[in-house]
Amino acid sequence: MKPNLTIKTGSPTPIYRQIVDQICLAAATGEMQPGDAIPSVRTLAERLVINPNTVAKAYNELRRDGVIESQPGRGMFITDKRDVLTKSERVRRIQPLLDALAEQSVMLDLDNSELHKRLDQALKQVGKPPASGEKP
Amino acid sequence: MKTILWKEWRENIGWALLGMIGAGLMMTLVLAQNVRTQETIAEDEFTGLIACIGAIIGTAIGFLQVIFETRQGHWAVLVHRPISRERLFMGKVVAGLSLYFAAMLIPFMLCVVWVQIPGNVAGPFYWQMTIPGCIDILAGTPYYFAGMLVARRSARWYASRCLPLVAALFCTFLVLVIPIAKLAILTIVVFDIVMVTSVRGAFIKGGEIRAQGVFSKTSLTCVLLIGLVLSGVFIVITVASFLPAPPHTDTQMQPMERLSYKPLRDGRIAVIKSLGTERIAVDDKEGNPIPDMIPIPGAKDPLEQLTPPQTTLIIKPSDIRIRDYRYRYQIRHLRANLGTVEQETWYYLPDVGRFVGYNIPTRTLIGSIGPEGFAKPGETRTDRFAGERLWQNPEGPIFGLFATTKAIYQVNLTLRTAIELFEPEDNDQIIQIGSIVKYINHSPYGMMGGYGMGMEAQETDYEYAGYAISTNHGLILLDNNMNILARHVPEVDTATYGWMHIYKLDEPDRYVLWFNPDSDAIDEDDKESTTPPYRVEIFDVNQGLISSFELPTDTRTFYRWPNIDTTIEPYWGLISPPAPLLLLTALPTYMYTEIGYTQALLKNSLDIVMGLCMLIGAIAGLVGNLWIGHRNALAAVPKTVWAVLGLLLGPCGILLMLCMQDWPARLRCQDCGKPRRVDRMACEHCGASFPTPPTDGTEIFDQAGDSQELEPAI
Amino acid sequence: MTDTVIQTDRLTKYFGSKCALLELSMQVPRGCVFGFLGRNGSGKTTAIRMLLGLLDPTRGSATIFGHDSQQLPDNVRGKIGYMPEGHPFYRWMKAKEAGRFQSGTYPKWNKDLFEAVLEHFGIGPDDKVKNLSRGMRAGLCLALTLATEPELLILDDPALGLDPVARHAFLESMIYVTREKRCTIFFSSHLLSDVERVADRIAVLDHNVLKACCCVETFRKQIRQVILRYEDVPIDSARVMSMPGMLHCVHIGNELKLTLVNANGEVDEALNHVGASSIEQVPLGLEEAFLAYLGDKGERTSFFDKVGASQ
Repeated sequence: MKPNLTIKTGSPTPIYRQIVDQICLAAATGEMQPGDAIPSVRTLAERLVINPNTVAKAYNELRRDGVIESQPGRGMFITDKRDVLTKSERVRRIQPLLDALAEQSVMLDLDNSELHKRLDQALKQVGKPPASGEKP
Repeated sequence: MKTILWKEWRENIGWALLGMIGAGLMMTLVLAQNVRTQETIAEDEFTGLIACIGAIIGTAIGFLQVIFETRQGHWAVLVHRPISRERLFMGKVVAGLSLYFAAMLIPFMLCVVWVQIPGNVAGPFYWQMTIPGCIDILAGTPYYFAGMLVARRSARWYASRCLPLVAALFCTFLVLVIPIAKLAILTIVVFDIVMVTSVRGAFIKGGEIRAQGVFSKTSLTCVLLIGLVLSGVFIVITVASFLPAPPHTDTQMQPMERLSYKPLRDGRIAVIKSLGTERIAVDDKEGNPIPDMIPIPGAKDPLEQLTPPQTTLIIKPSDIRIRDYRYRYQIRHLRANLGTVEQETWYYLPDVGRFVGYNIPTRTLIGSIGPEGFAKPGETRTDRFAGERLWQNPEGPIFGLFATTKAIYQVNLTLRTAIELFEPEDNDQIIQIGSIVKYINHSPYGMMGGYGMGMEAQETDYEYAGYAISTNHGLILLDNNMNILARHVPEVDTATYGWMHIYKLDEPDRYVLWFNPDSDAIDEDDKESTTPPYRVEIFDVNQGLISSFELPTDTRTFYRWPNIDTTIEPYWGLISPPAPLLLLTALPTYMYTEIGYTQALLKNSLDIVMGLCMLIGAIAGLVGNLWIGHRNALAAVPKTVWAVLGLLLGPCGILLMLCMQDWPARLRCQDCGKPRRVDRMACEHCGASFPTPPTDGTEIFDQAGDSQELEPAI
Repeated sequence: MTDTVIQTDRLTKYFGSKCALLELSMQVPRGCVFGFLGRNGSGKTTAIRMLLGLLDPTRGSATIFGHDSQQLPDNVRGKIGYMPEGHPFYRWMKAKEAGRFQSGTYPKWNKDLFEAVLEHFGIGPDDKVKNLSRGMRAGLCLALTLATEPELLILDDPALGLDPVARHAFLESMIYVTREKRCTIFFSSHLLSDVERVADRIAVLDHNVLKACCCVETFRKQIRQVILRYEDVPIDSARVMSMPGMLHCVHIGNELKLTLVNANGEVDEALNHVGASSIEQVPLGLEEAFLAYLGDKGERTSFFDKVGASQ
């Protein structure tokens, strides 16, 4: 059942944030297509063995961000709108990760071209090029 | 309720079965032993065993039923369910008592069934014989509740926790002492009610004394008080038995010179002067010395030779020997009687008014004997011995005398005959019959001298001088063949003179009637001056009363109980002030005491010591309880009540208060600086409440709005 | 609107002269999963036992469903499922007898649920309680409690001594229970990962005093760890230590690791002026936050330091 969510306890990232991130990623990579149903709060809570309120909190955030929408009586679905977030918001969210990447690459003494190459590869793997539809 | 009962039964049936098997084995063993001596289920040995087993099984079931559930988690499992604790408790008690009775009654009933089957016991069976056993089984119920209370009440094991068992022990003691079955049952019921109320309180409050109801607190107070006082007395007696025995009085250390009186065969009254146990001079009543009366070692006692035949009779009509009428005294119902016949045993059955005999080897019924003679088994006879059997069958020249309040018979069990010898006039009731006799021992060392000292057993001769019978209308003197010689109504008040000696003088038809003050008449007042004197009458069969005179009472010795040879009793006041009072006033009414000793106690200023001890005990109790009351900041009423209890009960009262009161921690009050109880919201001195715990800025609390942060369901 | 299921007011308990719980005042709203945290001996069990009327409070009061804890009516007690610490039950009973005992004393009994939970934990109906493993016994207690369909579940350290599988099953059951919207769960635990998964709100007891009562997220957010790097090695820590909300700080070489609680903008501003060359915010997981919160206050945190120093 999609999406294949896993959560980790004891991490600095709160559980609801982990759910939000993973669903966003699944939607962004095309693992989940617009119109795909996502599990109900209760189903997901029982599957992950977490408090339903946590799931509800994550879903509320996703809905606020426009990643999912609820259709009364039918459940919740991935939306097809992608750029719900403003550019600046997207930049704000990616920035800490970029900082960390830069920090690590300096520490590990990787040269810049190597880093760029690897980044491109990684982006290709998660399907950054516009969705062709058949990718797993 | 059904579920609770099921659970309790299922849980404890193992213990009950174990108890039942143990009880059954013990009963069988004791019964098997006693059957050989024709003693069965009403004997003290058997009922005592039942009382012991009942106490053990009762305590065990009560204790085991509760103790496993006093641990926190298990307690929660039991009581945290939609059933009130009252109902849980009721279920426990119903189940526990039914198991107890099953464990005790089933083996007991099996014993009863076995005993009553003819051919098993060489003796008759009456259902009344089961009463002592049943009451002893019932007497185990206070132990059951005591066991529960011990297990459930929160107290230290080395302190007051086991006191309820002492109270149960006291109940058993009372049951054994009380002569009337109904009263014994009532005692058990009263103890059970008190016990069950206190256990119920402890159970409902999870063992805490706090917040219990008035009834359970009062009951617990009673239980603990009985336990405390009895333990205190027991400890004192135990300690006293290890102490060197101090002299009662100086007079007992130094031989005391004293006078005693004795009629002689020739009619003189010997006035014997002795120092300690040594006879130093014998005079007659007029003061003339009687020579050669000092005993010489190795020769016969000259005074003994001058002693006339005599008997002792009770003359007070109300002086029933209550011991014989106790419900647990088997002889009340049946009695082996009148000499032994080989291989046979005979009983008198008061309800039938006949003797029944059993063959010992075959354990079969031989037949019965009534006033009209022998009847074989199966024959129906309505004749019965009239009146109530007297407590002692007289010996004398006529063999096989059998006395009732209405007649005297000669019953010969060997020939199986019964002959009526004497019948008093209408409305007369025989109180006692005695044979006037003198034992003539050929040993120079007296009656027992020849035995146990390696010498040959000496023959004893009897000098018989007729019979005497006391009735409620006077005295009857008879000859050796039960022919009436004279009737005599003594001019004494039988309320003062309860018993008498009758001496037969050498001079024909002449008697000395020697009336003794009744022990009740003396005990009412211990003062020597008010003790009634002996009253002596010289009576002649033909001439009637010849003379009468009085003689001062000499010091007599009775049994004392408890038999400790110390003067520790006055110090009982240190344990609890009323204790020595109990000894001096209440106890002697029921227990014989050495009158001289009690008098000495008062005379020799020991009463000052006693009073001092009582005073010290009372003040200690008062001060102790006042201090505890102050420390615990009690309200005026309970404080006063406890102070009075302290004053009355002394140190026992302090222990009682400690048992019954919480001991809350105290903290210094922020406002007034005095120590205050931690379990009160407001300070008892200044009314301030407790401060909230100090904060250091590291607390994390949601803002008021945050608490509603639950997400709406999607 | 959510109403309050459990409310305590200045609840205090002394055992003899020893204080076990001091002035506990808190509320548990209906429908929430409430984690009750604290170190051993901090008074959690005492508080729970007083809530259920199993213990008299020294002072203060507690109510459950609006009823005084000391006089809970039978039907209210029937609505509360309680699992005492250590999962005690009658050792002589078989599982089905335990069920019989429980069903006979409760008005509600969900037999299917009971059997399902037993099966889940691998307990046969004829297994005796004394022969069950710890996890199985916990499962039996859980089955007995859940089958009475309680509205309020009070669990005293339910995960104590359970293996991960049994613990997981336990958590699943707790999530299952919340299916009934009005059901409230109040549980004490040491396992922060469990708390993180299932709890909405937590209360933290420290040395018998309530130190925190808030949402899980709030708790995590309010505790922060900051690393200050200094150029020159002798560090003047006095200024840092005097900051409000300082839990503890540790020297590691030329670094100061600070743990702060309730830090606001003012504190951040102050940190900028203590002379550190760089300031790094370290994100904290719930467990770390908890450790930092209840660990020893002051300048050191590891008690092994003393051992190290003496060698």
